[in-house]
Amino acid sequence: MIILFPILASFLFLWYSYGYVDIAFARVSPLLYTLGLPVSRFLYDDKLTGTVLFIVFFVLAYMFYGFILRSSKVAAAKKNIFFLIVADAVILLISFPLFSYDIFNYVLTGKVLYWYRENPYITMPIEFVGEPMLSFTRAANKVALYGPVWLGISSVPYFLSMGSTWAALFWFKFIGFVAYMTILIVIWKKTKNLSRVAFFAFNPLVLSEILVNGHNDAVMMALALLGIYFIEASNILRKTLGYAILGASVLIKGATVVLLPAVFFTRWYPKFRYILYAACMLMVFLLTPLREEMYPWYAVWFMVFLPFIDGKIGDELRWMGAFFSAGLLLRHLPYVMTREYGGTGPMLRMIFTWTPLVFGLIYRFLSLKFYGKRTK
Amino acid sequence: MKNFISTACLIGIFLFVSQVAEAAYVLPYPSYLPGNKLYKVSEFIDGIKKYWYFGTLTQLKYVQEMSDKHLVEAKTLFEYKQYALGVRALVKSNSEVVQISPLLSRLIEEKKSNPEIVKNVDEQMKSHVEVLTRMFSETPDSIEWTEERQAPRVINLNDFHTIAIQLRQELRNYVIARL
Repeated sequence: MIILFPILASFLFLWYSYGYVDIAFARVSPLLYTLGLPVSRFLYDDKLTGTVLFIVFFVLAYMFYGFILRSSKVAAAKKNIFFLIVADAVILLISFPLFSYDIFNYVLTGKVLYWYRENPYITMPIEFVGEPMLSFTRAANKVALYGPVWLGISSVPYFLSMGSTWAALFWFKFIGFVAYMTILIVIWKKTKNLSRVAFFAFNPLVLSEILVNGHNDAVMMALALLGIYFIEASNILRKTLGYAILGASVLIKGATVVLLPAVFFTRWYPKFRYILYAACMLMVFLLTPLREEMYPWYAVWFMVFLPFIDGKIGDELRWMGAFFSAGLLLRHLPYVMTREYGGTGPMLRMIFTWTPLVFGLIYRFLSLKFYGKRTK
Repeated sequence: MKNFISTACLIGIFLFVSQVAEAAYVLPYPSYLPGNKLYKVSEFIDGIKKYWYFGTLTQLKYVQEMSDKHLVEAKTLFEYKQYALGVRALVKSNSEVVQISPLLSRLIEEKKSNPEIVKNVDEQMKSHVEVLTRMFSETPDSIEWTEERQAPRVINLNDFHTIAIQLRQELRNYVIARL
């Protein structure tokens, strides 16, 4: 019975997400606009309601996350957890990407290549003056930002959508869904530990950035994980395949390039390999503000490796990862509050990012100091 | 009142100057010239780039880029009185210019054209004509050129000038009709 609460919350979030459908969709995708209209009337226009509901969903998501992580330690919960993973993923798959418009950028870049038949690395979407998607796509004044493998993969959802923006949105998110499931399967295959699977599967930031916003980071990390999985095999053919898959991951976004030397290095320290992979990806993540800013979805880069780390250090890192993810998810809050990225936004984002982690660390320190001593 | 007039004048001058700057088409700096070891490499890369620049709009960018590059190359070679090499670069630039109008027609057919693209080609041809006029104003009508270990030959620079200007003028007329 209790399993129905997270599902109900996901349904409510699905409804909430359509409140952020841009008015520009009225021209391009009347269906999407019609779906969003009844909610956006009082959500998009009323910032306070939107903010309060965001906070409610945030609290609910982390409450359920904690609850599921606890229940996942009981073997009997296995069936329910697997059911919940699929049910949540399917519900969120049809939600609107309210926190990021990157997915429309993927669709439009695909359109430049497959519809206009122009090189997206040289020609920008904005150069097609009459293009209707320009009315809501952001960063249309940039050439393709992702590698050729991503352009190749995006041909599948692009052609399946048959020109419909709504269908394109769904199929591009479906690619993220496949990547999400691949990551979970690899975690399960390697660890056979339900709570480790649940740690990644139900993390609210992961759900928001992969299944709601449909970021291609999930595809990059699924390929990286799959590549490493095959590299660890003793069969030379599988090893070669593993390197090819890892190479494909690098050709999606480039961030996983740091894993290539790490894979060689871990031959000598196999016990610490996943700590090293997580550390490498965390390092790249922490360096991203030098280029633009710390985007929440980049956290998937290192979160993916945390379930594989064994021992007490693994537990501590996952604990810290969960708190850090909460801070990163809160980075969307200033936009929900103000509907703009500038102004006080950057300062608020910085405060929201680090506050949960600092509180988490203080709480952990205190609980270890007092509770830990008493249990002795 | 005096302050108001002087401020208004300053704003007027600023607006006028900024408008002039916006209208100008900027030609690139000359790249490697014949004789440089990297010249062949850059030519090879340009050849590869031709396939990388697929798609009508992207190809137009390539053709425009190459026509500019070879024109500037020709201008620099003319300044050093390397007329034979300069003429060769000019012919290359011309061969790129003649590809522009079919590409523009294809863009219109494919419904990818917009006034900005057409205007850009017009501005480009205008600056080409300016450069060519300046370039040939300082050169003789014809010269006798002697290549190493070869018999001397006469290069009629005036003919090249006429053809180059004519091509660009025709393209401008084509473009103006579509503006």
